[in-house]
Amino acid sequence: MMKQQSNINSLFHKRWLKFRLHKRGYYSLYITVILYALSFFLPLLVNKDPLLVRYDGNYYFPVFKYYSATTFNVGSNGEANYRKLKQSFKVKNNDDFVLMPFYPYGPTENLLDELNIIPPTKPSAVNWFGTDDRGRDVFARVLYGFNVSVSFGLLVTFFSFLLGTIAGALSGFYGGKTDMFFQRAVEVWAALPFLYLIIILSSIITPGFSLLTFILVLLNWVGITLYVRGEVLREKSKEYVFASYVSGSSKFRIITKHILPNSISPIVTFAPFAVVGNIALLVSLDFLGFGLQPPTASWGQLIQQGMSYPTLDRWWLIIIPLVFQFATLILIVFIGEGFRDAFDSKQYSRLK
Amino acid sequence: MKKILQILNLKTYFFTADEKSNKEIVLKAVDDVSLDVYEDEILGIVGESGSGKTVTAQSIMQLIPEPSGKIVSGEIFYKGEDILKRHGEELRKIRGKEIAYIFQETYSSLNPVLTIEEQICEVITTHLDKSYEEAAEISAGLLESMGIKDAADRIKDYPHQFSGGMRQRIALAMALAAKPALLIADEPTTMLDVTIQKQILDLFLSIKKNKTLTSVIFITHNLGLVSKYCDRVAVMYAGKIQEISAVEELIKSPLHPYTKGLLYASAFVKDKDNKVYTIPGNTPSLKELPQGCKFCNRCTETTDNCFIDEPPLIEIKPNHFVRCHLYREDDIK
Repeated sequence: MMKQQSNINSLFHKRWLKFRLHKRGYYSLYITVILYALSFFLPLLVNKDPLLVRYDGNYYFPVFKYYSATTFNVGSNGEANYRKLKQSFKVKNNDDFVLMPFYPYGPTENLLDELNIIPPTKPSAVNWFGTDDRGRDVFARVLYGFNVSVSFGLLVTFFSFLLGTIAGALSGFYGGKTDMFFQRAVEVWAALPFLYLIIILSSIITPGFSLLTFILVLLNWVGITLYVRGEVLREKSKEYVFASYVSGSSKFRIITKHILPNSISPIVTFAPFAVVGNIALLVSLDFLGFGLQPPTASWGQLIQQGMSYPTLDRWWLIIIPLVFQFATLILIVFIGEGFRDAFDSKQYSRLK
Repeated sequence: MKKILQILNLKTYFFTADEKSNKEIVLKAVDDVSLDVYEDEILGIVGESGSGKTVTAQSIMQLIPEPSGKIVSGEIFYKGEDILKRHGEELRKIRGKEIAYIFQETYSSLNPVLTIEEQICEVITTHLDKSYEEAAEISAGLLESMGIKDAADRIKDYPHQFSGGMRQRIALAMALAAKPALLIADEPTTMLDVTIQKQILDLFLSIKKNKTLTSVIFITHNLGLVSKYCDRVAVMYAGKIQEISAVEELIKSPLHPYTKGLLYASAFVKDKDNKVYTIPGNTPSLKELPQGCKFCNRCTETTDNCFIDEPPLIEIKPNHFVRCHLYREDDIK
């Protein structure tokens, strides 16, 4: 009871309450969190592997485990096509059944032998958003691409902010020569031609998800250092830091307990916008072919496939990923707006 | 009486560049100050802004911001040990544990994102071998004794939920949390209004009576407060001590013209035109101090010698020191 009372009065709780008043931001956060959480369960919702198969009195769970096609006595190598298996079971009309996910196509599976015409195919009742030029289902790819893009944006932002915050805090706290050294290093680092470097790097090594994240973190962390440094410089001159200093607290404690919690504003307010930037960056790298390598589900690749055709005949490959990207980015921008207003020390916005 | 703190020939200088000539100039913020603090006393340090009171206090705790400022020479003995020789970890064991420091600024002296409990406990757990729970209990008791009602509940509150006076009580509780022997209070009541000021200062007296705290250095520019709360008083001007004596003695028979000026300037003494007395002129800039006595260009009792030689600090009466040419060694008694 008492603990709760104290929470109500904490600065962060106040900011949270203020954030909730910002309806657009609050609901955007709500929707984004739910959608992102759901996207981790996509293998259960949108997948070529059934949740449950009953065959000859035994139960199989292909979603979680790989079974060779011979298990079900269809084909000799590879995995069974469960959609066909389902139809064959229906024909037999015995106790065997296949329980497919809600949308029975996977993101990396090519449907060449099920399509009657050469892919890409237009949206249809079977493949809701059509297929791409390798015959993969676009609906599945776009949804899995949401998870990949947001995860990528969050991870790059988290690690580059972590690195940037540590560097900025040390630079601001120690000041003097340390600061001088850090700032010059940051300036040199920031002056690297960012896009070219990634393009050169990814033409030498073909980056997977984690390697691309790592490269972008290394190039991205400098941005936030300047803000954290400024904030730390301001906070460290305040009396409460001095008070803690003269009462014998260690420097580590002063930085982590006193200065950083008070310097959190730029970190929190910049984070959503950084996520937006990183998602857009991933899409553009994928579009140029220097990002995640196929067959990873990616929006940029789809758009590239759509654009590579001289006319706009493959419109669905362009419009659908763009709409998804736009919707995701605008949700996150709304969250960012909400955070920004919540961390604004002015009680009411002047333009209301 | 036993000395708890002894400052010997302390010189703390600040180094800056002159705007025009771009030459380095030395500001002697504290110039050859020697001062003793005895056990069981409140020592007042009085002076105008820029007289070196705060720099003296910060030198004791080694808080001078380097590289612009530096303790050039001098020794500060705390319980017989030269604490200026301590650095790093060793120094941290003294700060807060042996000598505590509280500030003038009440509104920013507490961290806005931590509860009062967390902040007081931090001091206790840093210096004393206590768990957080034990520390929390001690903190609540401490706040209670600082005159905060419902301390057990209010300790979970955040700084913005307290008034200025309350915050200064909390700051005081924080300073006393690790049971220091010496408290340096740097204008602790300047930001508060007069009624709160009195309450806080009365609190000082009661703490000194009850606690392990033995001595207080009380820095202020208000001679009225000094006369009520201090045992001894040092008057500082331009980085030097001009007069030290027991409080009653200083109030009754001030010797230095500057001390006299300060006393006359208090609101209760009016001259024949019913105007409050003011000391002519302004505090001199440390960049252009006069040769000779530092007070000579504002003094009303100057002789020619005042402009040439700086007078030494001499003991005119027992335990009454003054730095002024009006008095000579052979005048004693």
